[in-house]
Amino acid sequence: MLKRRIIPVLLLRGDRVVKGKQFTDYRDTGNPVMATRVYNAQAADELLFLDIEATVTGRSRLAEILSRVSEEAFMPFAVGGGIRTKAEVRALIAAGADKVVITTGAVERPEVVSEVAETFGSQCVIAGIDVRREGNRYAVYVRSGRVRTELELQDHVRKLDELGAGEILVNSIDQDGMMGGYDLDMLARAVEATNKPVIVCGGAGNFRHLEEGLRAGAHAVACASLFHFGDNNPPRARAYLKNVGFPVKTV
Amino acid sequence: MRRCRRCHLPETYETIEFDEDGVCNICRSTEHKKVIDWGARKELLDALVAKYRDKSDYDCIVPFSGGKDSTFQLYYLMKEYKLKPLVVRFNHGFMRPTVRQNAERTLKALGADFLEFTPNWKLVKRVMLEAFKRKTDFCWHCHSGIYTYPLQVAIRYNVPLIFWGEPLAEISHYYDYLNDEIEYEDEAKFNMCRNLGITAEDMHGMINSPEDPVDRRDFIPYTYPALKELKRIQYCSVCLGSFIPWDYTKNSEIIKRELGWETDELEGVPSEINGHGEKIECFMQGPRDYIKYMKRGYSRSTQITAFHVRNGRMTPEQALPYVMNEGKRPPSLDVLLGYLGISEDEFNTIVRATEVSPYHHDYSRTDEAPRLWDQDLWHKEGGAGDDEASRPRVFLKVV
Ligand SMILES: [Zn+2]
Ligand SMILES: [Zn+2]
Repeated sequence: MLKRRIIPVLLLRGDRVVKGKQFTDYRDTGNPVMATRVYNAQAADELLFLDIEATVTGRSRLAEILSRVSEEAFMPFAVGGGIRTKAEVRALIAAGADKVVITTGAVERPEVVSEVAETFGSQCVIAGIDVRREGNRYAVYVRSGRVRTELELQDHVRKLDELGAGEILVNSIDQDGMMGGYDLDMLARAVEATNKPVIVCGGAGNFRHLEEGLRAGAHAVACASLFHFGDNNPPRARAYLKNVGFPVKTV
Repeated sequence: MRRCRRCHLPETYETIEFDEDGVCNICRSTEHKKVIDWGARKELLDALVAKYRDKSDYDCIVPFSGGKDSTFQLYYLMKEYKLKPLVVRFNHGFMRPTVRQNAERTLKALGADFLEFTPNWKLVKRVMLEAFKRKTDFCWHCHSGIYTYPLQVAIRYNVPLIFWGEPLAEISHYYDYLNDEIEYEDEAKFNMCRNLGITAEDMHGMINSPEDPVDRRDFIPYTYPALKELKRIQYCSVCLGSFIPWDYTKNSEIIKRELGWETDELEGVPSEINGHGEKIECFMQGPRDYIKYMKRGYSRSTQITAFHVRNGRMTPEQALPYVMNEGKRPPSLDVLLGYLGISEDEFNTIVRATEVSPYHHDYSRTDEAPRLWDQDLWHKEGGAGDDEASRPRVFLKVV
């Protein structure tokens, strides 16, 4: 069985890492370079940086932060936020990123997914999907959850799969920062629609939630609040998941 | 909860894993301790000491609280190697009277230079609340300062050798005797399991605000020194317990006999299992252990009896009653609430949010541990110890 990954998510806003609830109400959780150093020491499997207000940070500033991050990071890391062109991806990779997350770009300019996959390889592309539940369907949102689209979750997953995304990151706006557990129904629908690895995000508040995510078919569990709030860290999470029978990295 | 068949540590214990026989990785790790070639390790220590002796104003730095481990550390280094140490204490603000007396007695008996640093208390209170809200661990200042400050002293005095005490392999599985490694107290270890994942820079950003600014310099004592500074003095920061087998009970007997070191009550723990005097240095230990119980369903008695079982001083059957009878509310919690400026309901709400599955705490429990003999002597704030109604209430935003 493939090793399951635990991926800390760091939301970037300007020079700082923040944590929000339902994509608003952001609170400071630290400095990205120092956070990377900490996750390095704790041997996180991977890191995910999402620049939630690309306009605040600015592209050149982001590249600068990333190059400092990459000096620290032994583990692969992905970065996302406002990516729409191959040239942007090239710059982020040059700054040290191993993968990119494309969310809004994948809706507004879907060809960017295939362009990046063709040039840099599909393992380099994580297609992000932010959704909100609406009765018995999930609506896809863009622009950091501010703009609703007409797209439905499963159709969108299939499309991103066809475009060549290597992994799908599915994130529940409803659950974000609530620490009440992942939206497992959302996850199951995403998993059903693709054979690509699915990363679930949004809502993990304890280790049992990580376990539930993996049982529901996620290849990797992403979490922010879990590690920023509560005395949890990746080694403790790995020990928990190992005890309940999942293969995880041994350090 | 699932527990280790041997030592009873539960599945909520950090970094624990169980093997096919239901025995935990920490028990297994201490088995390896027995097959380590301690003779070879001792030679390594001889060589290390020889390398650094007489090279600067002091042979080494010994971070020192006055508790059993650091007292033994100091005793051993001065008796066995005749080293001239600079003894450094980061005072977290919760030193108990017995430990103060122990420290004074020890320092006078051994004859060592002693440097104590006590950080800004107003800042301490702010970071206590912040760390508690974020990590349900109000001791960030203590976890950080104890490890960072002695290194800063090492740089200032140009003393490269720093001796810490107990190895982490003894208490958790971040490190393992199996790997047969010397444990270095370096920045990676600090970030992995000392500072709650919050660096001084992070903490400053978290509590600094335009309405209530914090001087960046107040965080210097908690800042891990830059690697280039440490390299400049060619630092060597190691655990003595990597070189000699660490036996709490024996070490305690030695310092009691040789230095007149005295043990004390430990809140919430029956004295008959704590003859070796674990955790008696900090008067906030009771609330720390209580929080652990509320979150993880085990506390200090379980940890202490687990040691005894692993070291063959207790059978699992003898340990069980202690494991089953802990988790009582410590009276010192009122003192902590006074510092934090929050009510017990707010305290409970924060802790409840970080409960570690599968444990569920019963918040209707009302049994209280006996009050420590010295509680009346501690510094108190916010009407702690007065009646409930007169305690100030501060609005607290719970995450
Ligand atoms: Zn055990
Ligand atoms: Zn403390």
